[in-house]
Amino acid sequence: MVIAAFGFFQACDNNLELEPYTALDASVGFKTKQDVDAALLGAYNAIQSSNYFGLQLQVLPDLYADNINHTGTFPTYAQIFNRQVLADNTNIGGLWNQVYIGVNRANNVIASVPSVKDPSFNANNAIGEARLLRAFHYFNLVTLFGGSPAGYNKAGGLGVPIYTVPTLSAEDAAPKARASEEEVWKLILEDIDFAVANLVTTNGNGRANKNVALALKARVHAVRNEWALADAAASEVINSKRHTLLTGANYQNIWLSQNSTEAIWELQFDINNTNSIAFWYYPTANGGRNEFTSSNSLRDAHEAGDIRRVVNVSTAPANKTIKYTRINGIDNVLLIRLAEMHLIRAEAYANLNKTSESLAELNIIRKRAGLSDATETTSAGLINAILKERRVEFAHEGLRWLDLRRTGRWNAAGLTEDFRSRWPIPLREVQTSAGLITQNTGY
Amino acid sequence: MKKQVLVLFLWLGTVVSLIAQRTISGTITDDKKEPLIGASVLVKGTSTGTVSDVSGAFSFTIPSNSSTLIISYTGYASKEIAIGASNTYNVMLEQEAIDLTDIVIVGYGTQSKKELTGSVSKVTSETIARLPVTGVDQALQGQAPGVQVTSASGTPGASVSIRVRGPSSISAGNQPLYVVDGIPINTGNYSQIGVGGQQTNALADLNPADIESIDILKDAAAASIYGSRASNGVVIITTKRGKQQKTQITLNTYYGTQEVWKTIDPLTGPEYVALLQEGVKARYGATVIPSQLGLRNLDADPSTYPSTNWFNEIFQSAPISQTDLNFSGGTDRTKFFVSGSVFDQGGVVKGSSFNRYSFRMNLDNLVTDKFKIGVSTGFSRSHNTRIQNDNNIYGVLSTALLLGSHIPVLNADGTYGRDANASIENPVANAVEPTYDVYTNRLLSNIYGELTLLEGLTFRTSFSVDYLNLRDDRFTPASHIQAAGVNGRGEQGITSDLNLVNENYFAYRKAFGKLNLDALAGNSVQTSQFESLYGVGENYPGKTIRELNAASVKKDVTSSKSAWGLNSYFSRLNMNWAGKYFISGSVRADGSSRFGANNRWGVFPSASAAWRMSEENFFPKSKILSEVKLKASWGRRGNQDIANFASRALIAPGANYLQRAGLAPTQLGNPNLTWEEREDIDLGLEIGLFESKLQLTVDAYQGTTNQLLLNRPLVGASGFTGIQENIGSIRNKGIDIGLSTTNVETKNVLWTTNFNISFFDNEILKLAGTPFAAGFASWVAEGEALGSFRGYRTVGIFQTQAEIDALDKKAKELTGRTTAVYQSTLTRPGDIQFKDINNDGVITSDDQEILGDANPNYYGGITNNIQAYGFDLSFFFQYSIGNFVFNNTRAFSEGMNGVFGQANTVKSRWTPQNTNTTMPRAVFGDPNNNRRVSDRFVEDASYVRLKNVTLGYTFPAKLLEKIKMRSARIYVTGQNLLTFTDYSGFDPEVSTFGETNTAPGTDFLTFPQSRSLLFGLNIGF
Repeated sequence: MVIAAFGFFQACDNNLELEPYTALDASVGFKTKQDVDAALLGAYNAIQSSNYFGLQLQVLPDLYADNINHTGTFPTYAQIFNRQVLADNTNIGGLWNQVYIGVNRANNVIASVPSVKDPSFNANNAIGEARLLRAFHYFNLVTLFGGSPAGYNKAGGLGVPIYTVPTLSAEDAAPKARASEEEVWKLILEDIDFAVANLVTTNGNGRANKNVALALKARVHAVRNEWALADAAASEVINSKRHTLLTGANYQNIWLSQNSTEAIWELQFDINNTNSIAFWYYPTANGGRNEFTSSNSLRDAHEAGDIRRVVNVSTAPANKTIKYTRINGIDNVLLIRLAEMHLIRAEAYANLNKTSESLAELNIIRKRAGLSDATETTSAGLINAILKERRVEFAHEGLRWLDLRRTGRWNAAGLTEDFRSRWPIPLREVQTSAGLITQNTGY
Repeated sequence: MKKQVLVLFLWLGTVVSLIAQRTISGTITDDKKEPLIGASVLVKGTSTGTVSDVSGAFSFTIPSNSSTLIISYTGYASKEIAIGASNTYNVMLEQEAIDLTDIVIVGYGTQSKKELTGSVSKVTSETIARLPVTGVDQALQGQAPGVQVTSASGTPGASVSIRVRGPSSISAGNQPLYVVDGIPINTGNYSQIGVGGQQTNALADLNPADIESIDILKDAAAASIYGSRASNGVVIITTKRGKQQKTQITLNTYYGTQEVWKTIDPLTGPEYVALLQEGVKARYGATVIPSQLGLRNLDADPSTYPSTNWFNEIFQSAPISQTDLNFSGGTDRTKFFVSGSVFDQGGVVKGSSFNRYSFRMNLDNLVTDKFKIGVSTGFSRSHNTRIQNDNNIYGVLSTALLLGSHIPVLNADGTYGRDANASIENPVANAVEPTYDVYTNRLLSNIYGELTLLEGLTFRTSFSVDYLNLRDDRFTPASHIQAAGVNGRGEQGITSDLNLVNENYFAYRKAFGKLNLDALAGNSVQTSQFESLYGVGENYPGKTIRELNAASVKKDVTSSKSAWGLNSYFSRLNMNWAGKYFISGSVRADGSSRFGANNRWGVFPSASAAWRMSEENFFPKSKILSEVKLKASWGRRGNQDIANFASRALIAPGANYLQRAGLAPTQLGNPNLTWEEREDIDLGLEIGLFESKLQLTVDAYQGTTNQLLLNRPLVGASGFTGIQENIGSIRNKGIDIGLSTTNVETKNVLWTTNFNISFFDNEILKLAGTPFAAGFASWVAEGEALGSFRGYRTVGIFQTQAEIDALDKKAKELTGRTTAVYQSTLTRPGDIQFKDINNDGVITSDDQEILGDANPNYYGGITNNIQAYGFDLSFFFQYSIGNFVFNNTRAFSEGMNGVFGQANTVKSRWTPQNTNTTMPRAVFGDPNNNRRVSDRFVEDASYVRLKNVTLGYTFPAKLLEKIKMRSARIYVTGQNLLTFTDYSGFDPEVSTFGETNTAPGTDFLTFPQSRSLLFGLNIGF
C-alpha cells in the first residue's frame, strides 16, 4: 500500500506543469496573420484606455488650460485644475505609462509583420497603421512633456525617451535617456511619411488610412511652425473630398450620430468596449460623477449666435458638453476631423502672409457655426481670430492646451511660471531610471 | 487509490480463534466514586472487550486463558488489572495528570508542551466560546503573544488581518496558512465585485463554536514543516470530536444588540452653508456668491437651510445571535460529534448583515485494534449582505460624512435629497436602494485511515476537499444615481475553488530506555482549481426582477480559470533523553507550479533544541521554582502566495477594437522566479513557579525574509511598469511574553490571569528599486518599517501676509526663478505653512518625510477569569500601543475646500478674529492644499480596549439532576464596552484597505466596530 501510495504521487508531477487558461504564453508570440491582426487591434485598443483618449487626453489638457473646471472629488484633478501639478500626479503618471503601452504594442506589430508569410496579408499597410499609431503616441508625448516654453521646434527643446523595438524581456525594458525634441520629431515624421506612402485610402471607421496620416502630418507641421508643409498636407486631405463639414443643426450630429462625414479619424467604442467620459462629466442626477464642468470662460468665448455654444456648454444637463452624452460609455471620440484641416490651412495662409486665403478658410468654419464672416486683414489679427475659433471649435477635444503651448501663449491659462508650460515627467519614471531620465526643471 | 484501500482491508483481516470462556463483571468509578460511563474494558492482546454502562458496570465473556484487563477512559490514566480467580473487578481510575491543554497540535502530529522545542500558542474552545465573533480569526485577538490581529472594520463578514511575528512580505500574502483538521484551506476574498476596501472573508465560513482548539505555529521550528506556505506562521484549527461517553447534548445560544460606540459630530446645515459661503469669499472676493462659480442652491441666508445628521440616519442598533446544538459521544470503538449552528449578525450601518448556517459531523471508528478510520466534514452556507464602503462615493457611511448636512433625507416630493453640486448619492439611498448579496457554500471534508504497523509505528493517509462556491448577486436600480444613466444595472458572478489534498505519512514514536523517539516522514499532493463567471446587465424594466434575464443589454461577460499545484515531501525527527534534553529537526521539500521552470523546488529545513534544566539532579528541588526550560531554534520557510502564473511572459486577450478580438502583451516573464524565504532564529525560556501556578514564557526572535517577491519597477516608457522578481528583504525582530497565573485556587474559588505582550520591530532592508507609495499616505522604503506614513510637516498657520511675502522672496532668491513662491501664489493668512525639509526655498514633493508607522510598539491582551460559587466572571482587555493611523477622513471632513460635509471641529478654524488655532481657514478649492498628506492627519492610535466582559452563573449539578439536565449556565456578555484612545476617528482599530500589506492603519470613511451586549444560555443533557 505504501509503495502504491508513493507511486500515486509520482503520477502527479504534471501537477506542477500547468498552463495559463486565460492568456497566451508569450513564447507563442505574434506569428500568423490572425495573430498580427489581433495585435494591431490591440494597438488601437491602447488609445481607448481612460488614461488616454478614453478620458484623460481630452480632459486633462482642457482642465489645465481654461475650458474645463474641476467640480469633483479627486485631488489629482484638483492639482491640474489649480495648475499646481506635482511630479507624482497619478493622472499624469498613468497617461505617460499608457501612451508608452501604446508605443510598445505598435512596436510589437512592426516587429512581427515580417514573420507573416501569408500572401493575402498586406504587410506594408499593417506596418503603416502601426507606425501611424506610434507617430501619434510620440506626438502626444513630446507636446505634453517636451518642447520649450516658447513652443516646439525651437532650439534646445526637450524630447522623451524613444523605444522603437518591442520590449520582450527585462533587459529590453532598461531605462533610456530622453532624446532631443528634434530626434522625436524626426521619428514621428519618418513614421508618418511611411504611413502616407503605404496606407490604403479606405480602411473602415476607426482605423488609420492615408488621410489620417496626412491629417496628422498637417497637425505636426502646424505645431512645428512649418506652415507650407502644414498647408500641403491639410490641402491634400481637403482636396481628397472624402470628408465634408456638417452644417447648421447637423453640426451636433458629429457627436450625436457618430461616424459623420466630417470625421477623419474617429475612435470607435461599443457596449462591450466602453469609455467613461460622459460618466465623469455628467451630474449626479444623470448617473454621472460631476468631476468636470465647462468653464464660464469657455462659455464667454462664444460669440452670440454660435451654434457651437450649446455643444460645448450644454443646457441640459447644465454646463456639460454634448460631445460626450452616452453615460453607458459608447461615445466615440473624434481624434481628427475636417474642421481642423481648414483651420490649419487658415493659420498656414496667415503665417505665409496669404491673408485673403486665410480669411476665406476661417470663414468656412465661422459660417458653418452660424457666425458672420470675420474681417481681419493682418496676419497677426488672423492668427488671433483663428486661435479663438479653434478654442470653441475643439473644446473638450484636448487641443486647447496644445494651441496655447505651440504659440507660447500658455499664460492665458493663468500660469505664471515658465516651467509649468511642460508637464512633469512622472516622478516614478525619474526615480526608476535612477535619474537617467531627467526631470523638466522646476518640478 | 481504490486498489490501495482494498489491499488495506484485506491486509488487516484478523482471525479469532474460539477457545474456553468465562464471564467477568465489575464497576468502574473515578476517584470520587462517581461511575464512569462508557469506559473501555479490554482483554490485553485481544480485541475482546466492552464498555461500562450508565452505572459504570460492565460484564462480558473472556477467553479462559486471559491474563490482563486494560481499563481506559479519556482523560484518565489507564490501568492494567491482572485477572485472577475472581470474576468481579471493581476498578477506580485516576484523572490523568496531563491536562489536555498541555497537548499542542503541530503539523502532522501532536506534542506535549514539555516536549516542545518550537514556539506554539494554543487557544482553547472555552476562550473562543466566550467571544461573539463571526470568524475564528477575530477570536485570536489578544490571546496569543506574537499574534497581532486587526479587524479592518466592523463590516459583518469582512476581512481580518493576522500577522504572526510581524509582516514578512511586501507583495505576496501576509496571512498565515490555515489548516483545518489537516486541510490547508483556501482563505481570502472570493467575491468578484469590489465595493470598497472591505472584502469578503472565506474564513467566516467556519463556525467558531465547532472548534476545539487553535494552535498557532509561530517560529520556523514549528512551522517549517509546512514549507513554502509557512513564512507567516500556521494556524492549526482542530474541530471537536466525540469522546467515549454517553451521548451528550449541548445547546448554546446567545442574543444581543450592537451599536456604534462613538460617532462624529457634523456641522448643522446652516453652519455648513455659512462655511461654504465664507470659503467662496475667501477665495474669490467678499462680493462673490456661490452661484457665480456655478454652485447651485447655496446663495441663501444660511439660517434658512434644513439640517440633517446623516449618521443618525444610517447607524442603527442591530441584533446579533447564535444558536448551536451538538451531540457528542461514542463507545470505545466509535466516536462522533454532530453539530448544527445558526449565526445571524445585523450591521450597525444600515444595509449590511451576515448570516451563516453550518453543519458538522466528525466520526472516528476503530475498524480493528490496528486500523482506525475517520471523517471530519463541515458544510456551511453563508449570506452576506454587502454595502458599498470606504473610499467610495456611493458608500453608506462614506456619503454620510461627505454629503452636506444642509440636504434633507427626502425632498418634499418624496425623492431623495441630493446635492446638485456634488457627485455624492444620498446615504439613505445608498443603504436602501441597491441590493448586494453574496452567498457562499463551503464544504470542508477530510477522510483518513490510520494503520498501526508495529508498536509505535503508524501509517496515515488522508484525502481532503475544500470546496467553495460563491455567488455574487448585485442590483442597482435606476432610482439610485449609480445606475440612473443606464436604467438599472445588475451584476452576477459565480466563483468556485476546488482544493484537493492527499497526504500520507509514517509516524514512529517509541521509547528506548531513556531515549524517546518521535519520527515522521510523508508526502502530500495538493491541487487547486479556480473558476469564475461574471456578467453585467443594464436597462431593466423597473426594480422587481433583478436577474440578468430582465436586462435588455447584457455586457462584460467574462469567465476565468486558474490553477496551482503543490507537491511536497516532509520529515521530522524529535528526540529527547529522559525528558531533559530535546532535539528536533524537520525538512520539507515543496514543488510549486507557481514558480519559474528554473526554480520550481525548494527545501525548507529547521533545527531546534531544548533543555529542561529543572529536571537535572543539580537543580535544587524547590516549591518555588518548579520548571525551567531553555530552547533555541533555527529554520527556513517560504511564501508562495503570488499570482498563479506570475513567472510567465503573457499575451492576454481583451484588447479589443471594432468589436473584434485583440491581443496585447501584458506581462514580462521571469523563469527564475521562486519562493520568498524567511529565515528565523528563536530563543526561548519557560519558567514555572509555585508548582506551575505561575507560568512564564519568553521568546526572542529575529526573522529575515529574503528574495522577496517584488514587482521591480520598470520605466513606463518600456511599455511595462514592472516585473516580478525575487529581490527584497525584510526583517522582523521582537520579544513575545506570555504569563499565566493561578491567583487563587480553593475549593470554591478559582481565579486565573493570562497576560501577553509582544514587542516587535519591522524594517525593510532591501527593495527592488526606488521607494514607492501605497494607499493614501503609506510609503514603502528601505530602512523604514512596512506600514510607514510619509507626508509633509506642518509648521503652523500663517498669521500675516508679511510672513508669506518673506518666504516667497526667499524662494525667489534660493531658486533664482523670478516666479518662484514658497507654497502657492494663492497662499494667504490662515493657510498652513509646511516645512521646507530640504531647504531649497520652495515646497515640492521632496519636502516629505516619514511621519510615523502603523505598527504598534507593543500589543497584547490580558484576561482574568474568576470562578466562585457557581459564578464566573471574565474580563479581557486588548491593547495596541504606539501605532499610528492616517486619518484621511479628516482630510475631507476638515478640508473646508468644497462641497463635502464637514465635522464640527472646523468651527475652530482660523479667521482674522480667531487666530490661536491649528485649524486653517476655510477657502474654496483649497489652493494652498492645506489638506495634503501631512502630520495633521497622522494620529497616535494607541488604544486599550475592554474587549469582553462576561458574567455567568452555572446552576448546581445536584439541582439539575432532578430535571434530568447535565448542565446549565446563563451569562451576559459585553463586547467592546470601553475603549481608551486619543484617536479622533470612529475607531483606532481600522484599515480602509482591508487586509493590506503596504497600507495598513489608514482610516477613510471606514465602517466602525460596534459595542454589543448579549445574553446567553448553555444547557446540556
